[in-house]
Amino acid sequence: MSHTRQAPAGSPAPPEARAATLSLPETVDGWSRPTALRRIEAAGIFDYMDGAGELYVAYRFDHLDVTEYASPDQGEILVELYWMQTSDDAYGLLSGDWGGEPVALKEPVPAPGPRALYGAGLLRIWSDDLYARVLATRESDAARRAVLALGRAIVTGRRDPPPPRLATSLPQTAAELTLRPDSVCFLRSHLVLNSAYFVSQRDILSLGPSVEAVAARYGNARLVLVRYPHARAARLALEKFRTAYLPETRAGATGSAKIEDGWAGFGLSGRGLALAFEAPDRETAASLIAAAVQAIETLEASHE
Amino acid sequence: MSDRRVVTRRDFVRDTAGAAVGVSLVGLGWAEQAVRESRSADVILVRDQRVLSPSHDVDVSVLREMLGETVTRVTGKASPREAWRSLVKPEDTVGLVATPHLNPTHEEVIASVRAALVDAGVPAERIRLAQGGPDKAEACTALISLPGLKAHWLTGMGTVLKNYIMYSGHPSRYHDENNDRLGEIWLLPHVKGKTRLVLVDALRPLCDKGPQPDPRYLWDYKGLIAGTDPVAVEAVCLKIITAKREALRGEPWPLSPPPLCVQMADKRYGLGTCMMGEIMIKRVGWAEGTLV
Repeated sequence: MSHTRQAPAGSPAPPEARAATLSLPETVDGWSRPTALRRIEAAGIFDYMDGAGELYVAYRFDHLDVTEYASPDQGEILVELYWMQTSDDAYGLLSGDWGGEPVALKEPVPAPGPRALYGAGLLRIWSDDLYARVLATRESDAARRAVLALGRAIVTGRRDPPPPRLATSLPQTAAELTLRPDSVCFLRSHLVLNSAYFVSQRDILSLGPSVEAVAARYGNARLVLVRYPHARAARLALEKFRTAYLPETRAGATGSAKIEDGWAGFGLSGRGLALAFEAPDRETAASLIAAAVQAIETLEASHE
Repeated sequence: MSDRRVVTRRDFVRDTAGAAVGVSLVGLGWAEQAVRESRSADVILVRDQRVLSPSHDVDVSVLREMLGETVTRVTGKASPREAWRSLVKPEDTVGLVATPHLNPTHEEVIASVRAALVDAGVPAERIRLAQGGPDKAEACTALISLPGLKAHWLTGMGTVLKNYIMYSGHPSRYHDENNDRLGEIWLLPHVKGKTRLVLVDALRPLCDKGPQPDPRYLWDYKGLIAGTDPVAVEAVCLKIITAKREALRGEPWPLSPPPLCVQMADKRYGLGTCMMGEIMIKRVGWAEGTLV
C-alpha cells in the first residue's frame, strides 16, 4: 500500500488544512458558477434537504458548501461539499454505496481505493474530511469531462488518510465465506445500519457519534462489528441487543441461536462487539464471530 | 412512544412469512377483521412510451392523455371531465399536494391536473398548491395527492404515505424509527377524508438512495399510478420499486429499512389494504418493463 500524505483517519483535519480548503474554478469548459459558495451550517441541513439531512447528521457533519455551475445549453452541474469532522465520517458516506465506476482524480492514486466513484452524471468523492457530490443534470461526454475536472480540483492538495481501521480490520474469510468488499459500510448510527442492513426499528446497539461500526456481507451472512468508547459501554450494548433481539440466548460473552432467518450470534471482547446474522449454521456463525473478535483484538492491541 | 414494542428484523421476517395467512406485526385481531370484511381496491397503472423524450423532457399532450385515461379508469366515468367532477365539486377548495423537491413531482403533472380541474369546473382560484404545514390542509376541502415515486433511505418508501408528513406540524416525529406512524397523519382532523385521489408521478422514479437523487437509480418508467386507496397505491409502488431493484442487481435487493409504514397504514390505521391479493391492478398502455 502506498499512501500519499497520510494522516490519522479518525482525527479531525487540522484547521490549516480546512482553511486551505479547495479552490473551485469559476468556470470549467462551458459551465460557470457564482463567485460565492452557499454555506449551510449543521442547523440548516434539514431546510436544505428535509428527509436526507439525517444521513449527514448520522455521521459527524460540520457544514455544507454548495454551488451550481450553469451552462447556456448543457444543463447544470451541482457541487455539494459536505465537510465532516473526520476523514472516517467522510469515508462512511462513500461506503454507503460502492457502486459506480472507480475514477482516479490524483496521480499517484492513493491506496487503498476507490476514493471516487462516477455513475450516470454523479461523481462521489471521499477526500480526507470532505465528502463531495458533483452532479450533472444532463449527462453527456462534455458533462462527464467537466464533472471529473471539478473532482480533480476538489481533491488537489488535500490529504489522503487511510480508511477507518475498523473497516480494514474485517476478516477476509470466515468458515467458507468470503467478505464482499462492495458491502462494507462504515457507520455510527442505527439509521445508517438499518439502511445497510435492517436490525431493529430502535437503536438496540446504543450506536452514536462516539461509536464506530462496520456492516459487511459474507455470502448471504452478515457481520456487524462495533467498537465502543469503553468496555462497559460494549457490555451494556450487548445486553440491550441480546434482550431485544436474541432473548433465547443466555448472558455471556458469546452466544448464538437459530432464529427466523438463520443463525444469529454475538461475541464480546473488551470494547468490541461482533454480531452475525443469517449464517447458514451454528458453526458458520461461530466462525464469523470468532474471526471478527480476533480482528478487533488485533486492532486493540495495536492501540489504534 | 415508549409504550410501543420494538420492531426488529425478526418481527419483520415473521410477518412477511405470515402475511400470506394474514398474521401481522400488531397481532391477529386485524387479520380476523380482514377475513370478515373481504376488502378490495383497484389501482390504475397507465404508461406511455412517448411521454418522455430521450433527454427525459415531458410531452405534455401525451401526459394529458395518460391523465385522462387514469382518472376515467379510477372512477369508471366515460370522460375525464366527468371523472374529475365525480372526485371534486366546483365549490371545493382543491389542494394539490406534490413532492416539492429532491426528485420532485414533475411540474407538467401538476399543471395538467390543474388544467383538468379547471376544465371540470373548479375555479382556478380554488385550486392551490397545498404541500406544507397543517394550515395548508385546513384551507382545503379536497386534496389530490401527487407524490413522486421514490425509495427513501429512512422509511424504505417515500411516496404516498410520506407525502403528508408536513401536515403533522411535527415532521421530525415521524422520521427515523417512528416512520411506521406515518399513517396516523392521514387521520388527523384537518386531513381525514379529504383525499379524493392519489396520483403518483412514476414518469421517472428513483429506486434507491432517495430522496437525494442519484441518477444511477432513476429510470424512465413513464407511468402514472392512481387510486383512491392510498395504501393499495403505495403497495403497488413498493412492488415496482422492489422489482426494479432486483432487476438492477440481478439478485434480491430488498428495501432497507423495510417500509413498515405501508403495513402499519393498513393494519394499525386502517387506511386501506397493503395485501396484493386484495388489490386489482388495471394496466393500460406500454407493457414493457411494467414490473408489476
